[in-house]
Amino acid sequence: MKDISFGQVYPVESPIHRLDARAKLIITITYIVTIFFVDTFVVYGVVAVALLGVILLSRVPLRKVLSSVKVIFFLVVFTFVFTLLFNRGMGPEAEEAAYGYYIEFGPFVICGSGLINAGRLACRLFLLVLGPSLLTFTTTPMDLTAAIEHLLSPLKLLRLPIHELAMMMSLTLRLIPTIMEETEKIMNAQKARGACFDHGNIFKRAAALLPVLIPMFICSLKRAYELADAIDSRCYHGAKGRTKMKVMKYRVPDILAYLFSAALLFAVLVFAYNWWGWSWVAEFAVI
Amino acid sequence: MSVEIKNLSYIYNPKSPFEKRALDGVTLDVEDGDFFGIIGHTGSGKSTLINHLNALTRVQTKPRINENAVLNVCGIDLTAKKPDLKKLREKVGMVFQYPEYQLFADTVAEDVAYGAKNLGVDKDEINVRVHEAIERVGLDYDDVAMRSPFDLSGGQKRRVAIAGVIVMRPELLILDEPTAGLDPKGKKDILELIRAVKRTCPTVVMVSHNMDEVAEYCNKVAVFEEGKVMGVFTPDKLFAERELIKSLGLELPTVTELAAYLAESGVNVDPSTLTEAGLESQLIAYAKNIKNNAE
Repeated sequence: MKDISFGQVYPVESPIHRLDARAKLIITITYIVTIFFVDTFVVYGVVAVALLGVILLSRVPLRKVLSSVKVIFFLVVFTFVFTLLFNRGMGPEAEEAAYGYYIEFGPFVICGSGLINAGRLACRLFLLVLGPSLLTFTTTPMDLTAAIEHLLSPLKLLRLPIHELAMMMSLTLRLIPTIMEETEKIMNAQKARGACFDHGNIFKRAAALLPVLIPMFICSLKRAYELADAIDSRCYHGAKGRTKMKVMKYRVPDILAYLFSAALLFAVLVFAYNWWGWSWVAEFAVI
Repeated sequence: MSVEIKNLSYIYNPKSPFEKRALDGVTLDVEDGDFFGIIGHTGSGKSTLINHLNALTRVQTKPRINENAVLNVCGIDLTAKKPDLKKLREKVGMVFQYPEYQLFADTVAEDVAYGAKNLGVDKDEINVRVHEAIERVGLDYDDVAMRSPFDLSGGQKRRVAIAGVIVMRPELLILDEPTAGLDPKGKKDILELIRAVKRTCPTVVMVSHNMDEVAEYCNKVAVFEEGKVMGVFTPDKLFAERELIKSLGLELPTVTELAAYLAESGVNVDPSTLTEAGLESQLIAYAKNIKNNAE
């Protein structure tokens, strides 16, 4: 359980780690939007190279970042196979003419457009996961929450309790590792009493988990009460009149990062729509 | 021999910035009948070691650091790929730190029975064992058996948790700081209870921060420092080695400290006395001596 890599900050010094969390969050969102405008392999390649550059700059080992793809690997394979088998492309004659093959068996079809579409979907899914995972590798949950609070602060005008939501979020994130540790301890204690969590059918397994779940609930409730007392005893009263210890401030690298992400989005849009009718763009981005 | 360990190592998060060598070539033997103490600072590898004894942590094979390691517990070879875990857990009872957190059942009797049930003991036998275990930890069966474990006091909860382990009738009982978080009387009660339990469970391994406990109850003590065993001593030898104790940042038992202070100020007592009873008898003898001299 200690090996879960998702959402764990990789603690090294790098320009990416030092970027303002707000900038990183907005850039990540921009990046996700960007990916949805990409529709050819060549442009996926361009985005991948840009991402690779950022990963190298962040000094998080490539292998570590790539390992976050493991979580969705099954999903990618699943999507790939289904897109491949059910996509009928432009119909038998046109496909035959364009790619030279059109194989039909039962309800399934394998054709050129299907293969290309499936490949694109796989690329899109991989890139979609890699970007945000880099965000969590380089940004602490605390910074991320502060960034979210800052970016959502306009909603305060609508009387939404943004500060309280952010507080809840940071408490939740903070307690995930603690609760995982606790779970492991209790599981070990019950295993030492002969419990077995990986035998029998699903009902038996669920029943076997009861001796873990009940102590967990009790611990969590107890901790929540204690936390509430600790917060109360320090005179916490919500957002009103509260100042920040770390005031977030944009610096030159943050502006550069914004420009870089905007440039990437712009380039992708040019490839997608070819507004000026450049012939090299049309040729460049065929597949 | 109950436990035989040779050259055992363990690394947390290998090949990452969080890499930590928790055990570094540990070699230890625990004989049948020992009351074996393990002392050392937080993070010195004590807990990792005892988790190995119950196969909750398996002998690490990747990276290759344990190629000549030996880990033999109650005659079961734990370096094997698939040791008989059920048999192991029947033989080795483990009481974790703050064991009261493991309580879950509706009644004390049900909770205590859990371990025996998992072993597949038959129903009548379970009832006998549960009754016996609850009485053995110093609780009144008729009073507590049908109550919810969550209604009990802290000390009672801990007793119930210990009963839940000894109901399995282990040959080797491992305790990880059994007295943590208890008041002085609670501590003493739990330790006396362990001493009583030891009559039926011959070998006990106890991790502790408290030198008083170790001096009073253990017959052998292993000192841990940064994943290494600094040595295995009898308590009187260990606490006679003042330099070692000091260099490891450990303390002397309160009694020994008092005895040393008295000896220094001219009272005729052995400065390395380890038990309260021992110091008491020496002081009585000393007082009588003075009285006789005065007469």
